[in-house]
Amino acid sequence: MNTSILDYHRSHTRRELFAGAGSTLGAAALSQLLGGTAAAAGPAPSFAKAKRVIYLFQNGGPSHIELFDPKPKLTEMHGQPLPESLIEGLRFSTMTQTKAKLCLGQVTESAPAGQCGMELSSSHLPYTSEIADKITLIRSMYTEQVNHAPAITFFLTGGERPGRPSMGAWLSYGIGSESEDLPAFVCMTSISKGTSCGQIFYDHYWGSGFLPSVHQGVKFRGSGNPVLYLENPNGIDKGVRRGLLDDLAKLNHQQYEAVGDPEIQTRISQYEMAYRMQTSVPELTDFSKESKATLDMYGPGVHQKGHFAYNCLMARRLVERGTRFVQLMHAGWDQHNSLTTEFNNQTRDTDQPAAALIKDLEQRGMLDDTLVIFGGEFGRTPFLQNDINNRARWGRDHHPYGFSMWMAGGGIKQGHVHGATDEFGFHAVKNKMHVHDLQATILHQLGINHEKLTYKFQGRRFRLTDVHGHVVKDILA
Amino acid sequence: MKEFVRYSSLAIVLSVCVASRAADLSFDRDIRPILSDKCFHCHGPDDNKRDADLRLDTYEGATADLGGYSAIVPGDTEDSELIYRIFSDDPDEIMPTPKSHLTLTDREKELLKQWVESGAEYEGHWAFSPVTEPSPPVESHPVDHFIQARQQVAGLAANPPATAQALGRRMALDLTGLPLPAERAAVFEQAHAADPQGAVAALLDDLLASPHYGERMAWDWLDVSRYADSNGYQGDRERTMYPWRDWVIEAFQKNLSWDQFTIWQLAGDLLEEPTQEQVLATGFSRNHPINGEGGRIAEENRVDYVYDMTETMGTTWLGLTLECSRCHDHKFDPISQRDYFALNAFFNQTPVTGGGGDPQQRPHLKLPTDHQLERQQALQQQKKEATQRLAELKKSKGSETQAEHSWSLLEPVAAEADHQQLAIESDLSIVASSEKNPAKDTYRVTYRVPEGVAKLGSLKLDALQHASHTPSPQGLARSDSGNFVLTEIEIAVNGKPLKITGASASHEQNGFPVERAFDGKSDTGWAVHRGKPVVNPEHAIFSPRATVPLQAGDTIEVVLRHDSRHPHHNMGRWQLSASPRLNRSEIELTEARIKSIDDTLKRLDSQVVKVMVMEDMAKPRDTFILEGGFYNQPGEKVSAAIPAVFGSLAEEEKPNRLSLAQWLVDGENPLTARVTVNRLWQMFFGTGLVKTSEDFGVQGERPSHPQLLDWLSNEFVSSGWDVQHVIRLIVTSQTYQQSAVIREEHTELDPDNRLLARSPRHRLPSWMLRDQALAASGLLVPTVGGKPVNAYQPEGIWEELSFGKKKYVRGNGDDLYRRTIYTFWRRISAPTMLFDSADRMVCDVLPSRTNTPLQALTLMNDTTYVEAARVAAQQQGDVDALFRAIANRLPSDREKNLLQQRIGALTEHYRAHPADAKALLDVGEYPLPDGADLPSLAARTAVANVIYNLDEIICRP
Repeated sequence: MNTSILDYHRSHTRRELFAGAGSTLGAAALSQLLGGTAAAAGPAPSFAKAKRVIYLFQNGGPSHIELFDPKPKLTEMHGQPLPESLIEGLRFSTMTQTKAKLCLGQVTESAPAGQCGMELSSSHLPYTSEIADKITLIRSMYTEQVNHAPAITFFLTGGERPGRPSMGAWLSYGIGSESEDLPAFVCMTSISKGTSCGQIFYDHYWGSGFLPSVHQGVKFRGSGNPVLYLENPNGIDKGVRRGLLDDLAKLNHQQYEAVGDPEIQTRISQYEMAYRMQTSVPELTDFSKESKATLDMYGPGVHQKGHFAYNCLMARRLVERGTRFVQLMHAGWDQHNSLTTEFNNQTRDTDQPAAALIKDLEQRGMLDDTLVIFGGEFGRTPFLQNDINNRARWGRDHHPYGFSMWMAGGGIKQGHVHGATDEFGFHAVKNKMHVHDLQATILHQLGINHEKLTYKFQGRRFRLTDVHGHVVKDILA
Repeated sequence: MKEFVRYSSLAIVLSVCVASRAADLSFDRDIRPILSDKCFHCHGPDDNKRDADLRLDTYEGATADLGGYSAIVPGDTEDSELIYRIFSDDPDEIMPTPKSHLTLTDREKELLKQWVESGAEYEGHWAFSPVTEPSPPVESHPVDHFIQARQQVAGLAANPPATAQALGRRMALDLTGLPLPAERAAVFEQAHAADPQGAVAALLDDLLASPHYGERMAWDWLDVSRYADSNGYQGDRERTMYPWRDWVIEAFQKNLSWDQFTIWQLAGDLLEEPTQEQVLATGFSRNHPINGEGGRIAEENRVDYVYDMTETMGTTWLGLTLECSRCHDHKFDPISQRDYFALNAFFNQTPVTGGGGDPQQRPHLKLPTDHQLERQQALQQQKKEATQRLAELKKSKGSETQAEHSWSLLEPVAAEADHQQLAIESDLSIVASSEKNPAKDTYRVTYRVPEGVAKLGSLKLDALQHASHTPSPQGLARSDSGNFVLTEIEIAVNGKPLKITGASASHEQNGFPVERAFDGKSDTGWAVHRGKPVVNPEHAIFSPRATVPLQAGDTIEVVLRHDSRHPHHNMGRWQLSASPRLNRSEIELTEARIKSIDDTLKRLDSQVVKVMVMEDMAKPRDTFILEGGFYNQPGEKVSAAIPAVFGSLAEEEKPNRLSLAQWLVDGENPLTARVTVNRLWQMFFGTGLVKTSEDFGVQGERPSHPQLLDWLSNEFVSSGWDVQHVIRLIVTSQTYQQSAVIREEHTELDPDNRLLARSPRHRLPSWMLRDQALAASGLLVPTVGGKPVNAYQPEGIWEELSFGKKKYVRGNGDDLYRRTIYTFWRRISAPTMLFDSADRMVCDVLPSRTNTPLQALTLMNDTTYVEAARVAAQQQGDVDALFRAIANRLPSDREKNLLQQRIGALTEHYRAHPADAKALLDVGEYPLPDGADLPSLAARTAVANVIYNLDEIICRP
């Protein structure tokens, strides 16, 4: 009756192995089950630098120029047209496709940060600047999608259309959970107050695609119960529920003896897991034992359910308790006309908590084997959207050709800058890093060869990186 | 787990084949799966991705001369390069190449060798070959004949029959999605004891005649057609496709033959003089999500929608994964990119533009209710009469439209402006002056009502000339042209604002009609320029909706605003007069009436349910192969055609969707019948005869019982595509009626139950669990069809996903207890009480069945289930009755003792904690009986919650 989640996952992955006969999972026991016929490769935990991932996804496309990749040239050429050679034949969103493309100088300030001296926005990322020596800043990301939903789907699932498993689902499928009481893959969402243009959080962002739905991310809600239907009905206390569950287990066990279906055993253990979650989830969300220093580090939002700061602390508490993949999604980074207004709220709400998460993981000795990623689905155009004479409405459009993100922990270099864009911040030109490269590198840090973690569906072996992707060794410590 | 069978059965095949005669090898069964899986990716049908110019999917390709040698030399393993390469140890030579991460097993290599040795014979893919005509012996049920033949080979035997109780429950859940009502169960059990087959036949008749049969069948079809009540994506606007959903229910209910069901849905609009029902059916293709995100390119959306229509047809009727050939030739199946776009061309004739997020995008079918229709007709009649009257009035009165007014000049008692001085002149006009004419200004003037003005119907504002004006002295303002722009006029009587509803003017400058002076907008207004500097006085008359009583000494406060972006256009001198009459002539009144009727008609039309349907444009659209699937990279032009592997449509000038639909159900199509009976089989047994019910292509699984599949397909077609005939064939078999008990030999020899030596006992779909809970408690409201309803869901569930833009307001009363198929399906937030359901984004034919703690939490704690437990406990006094209401059987002594003890203990608990009892019983809307013994009822509610969660209740019996 005390079947652990590990057993649970093992039983499921084992079932999966049969189901997807070609799927390649590493555990020796599993390959034995197939009589050694499967190409056993998969995770080799001893090589894994990271045991878990926290992905701080910034929906909407944060401006790389304002935050991570200052370009004096743009300031110099402010108001003048961008060289035609940069733009010719490229695709932008319909909002600026046919408009004049004037350089927009950086509206924030930047300064070298940390010992390493990487340039970050001093005005908008004061806290991230404090952890400059802990992170690798990638300035040469590029993607293929120019609209939000396809671009986000591409980052999280490797394909631009819904239907494929998200990264966390692949990890749940591939290496399972470390927790007996909590799900392997958890997602939480937030948005800055007063944001006029937020993108919807589609549930395929944490979906399991064609993988069995047991691997899908569990969405913790930002209000009320973090897990739907977690609380017992009014009038049924813990003791009553325990008694009822004891009866249920007895009757179900009796049913098992009568009909011999092994699935009943799983069901009994799932009800027990549900019961444990009724305790573990409230414990998870109870911050009363966190020190004041820790809470202060995350900033005032930490006390507010559904705030990015709250979610960041939840993320730390989740990985501490064995959750494998935590995906936080913060919306509102869509500065078409709000670079001098709402943009300030975005950085105010995310800078401090994200930096605090790194410091907090480090002070607990967890940063070494926890991989943290911060970034959006694309960057923003070096050119202006809207009227150059109306500073209050300055904005930048979606920009897939070159942008920035950062990674920390889990065997990633510290205080390192990888790649670069051209002098306008337009194209990634040095050490270009594609979305599939990022995915391959994340899997690599977890000890997984991205070409071997596959699942056969509709006659094809699918993987997170489709048929592309290279591990970027340059950013590995 | 299911694949295990394939391995073990393959092992059985192998032990026969490898050991005995190679002649037993079947290319289709044994060889193609290996080639397809391990070789076709580089050496398959895709012309653009072929390595070494070698293709192994055809005999010609495999035996072609590659420059002095061939991959396969039939009968000669020594000279066959393929055999040499697969047995090679040299990493530069071995195939599959190590780069592919694919390897052949020893068995596979051995099979390939034997196949080449025996002549390397190729044969067509089974699913693309005509349906065979197996003839089972007459003495046994054909289904059992085919099923048992394989069991015997594997050393298994069918289970004994299920108990009548289990069988009745199974049939009812399978066919109606609801448990069997107690009285009917009793009748069936009694009849079954005497005549099992007779009892099954009678129950089958009853169930197929039940309206709930249509609802049950419709659920799976809604998953297939990605039905939802909203668009999806940002905005996620609500649509009204539910009449189509109701049509599906009815079509199943009346057992519409599958060929008609197909033709109507794919091409009902193209039938000769189609009925409304036939057009309605084409909503099938329009159930795709609509992306109304700002910044989306309309053509890209449109292309996506047409892709979706094409691929949904492909999966639903052909069992083909067409999506793969959108961007390149299919890697495995002989479907080229050209084939894909030739199919696409059938759907590409839709006039849908792809722009915007209108959830009732044209073409649509309007379905007004009788009441709406009556209202519309009445309004049309009224409009006709009013229009006639207007014509008469205009004829008789010519252009005279002004009412007879008697104007009384009003006396200003106070006047001030933001930036100018206002002087009250002796003629009661006001003159504005200042050193420099300000860009904008606002005037506030208070007038006193003189004697003899008993009511206010109109106010006349006379803009007057003045020597200070431009051009002096004829202009009306100190602007360049003498023109003014009155951007707003506000009127109050005794401090109480008066809303202006109508106005007329002596002249209105183009773009500056007088209505703009009271539209609440500061950047629009009334102006009087006639193309040259203003040289005449002008006036405007403003009226409220109804007259206002006045008496002498009352005040009228007037604010005149000049906020135009044209600077200095401030009126320079004016007078104000009042008249007791409203400023309307009969002509104006009639015109206003017509406008109001039109507004009402428009509003009414917006409320009319509209179902998006199919239509072909009059002028055909050209279809091009889109390179890489990108909307803006057209390549070669193609015309509508079926994939070449299936031949071509009969000679027709212009094949359209109707030709396509007719081809699907022409009886010769090798896929439609197989794919459909396979889904029916899957509905009963959980897994299709072809497990990959979404993929009948080369990479799909071969049927576990190919002869049975073909036999059922033949029966289906020859019965006139009669779905209920196939259902009868299945349900009357011993295979269907056997018990679900799992014995050791099952788990050992057939853990995945593909040989069906036991009845499957998968968990019921979550929608069925909810329906069952409602039915067993007596809460179910069995109304069929209609608008979607909002059942119990946690508060704030839509708000969170839509940033507060969509509010979840749950329904009341009957809405809470309707079948789940009527629950509003918001695409971005599917009903939360469901799990393992299709996401309704794309066509989904494969059920998902997981077993997670979140499901346990739902079934234990969701209001729906707790309320059902309470109401069941209210209806049933003792454990026996309660248990029977939910489980369709009496509890065993052991079960009864356990539950009774719990009821006893909990009754005591709740007596000690009466507030808890009250809190528990407070769940849901359904009323509590007066004077109930609350602690006892609470205890029984808790125990009913346990019964609802029993494995026996949530799994197929």
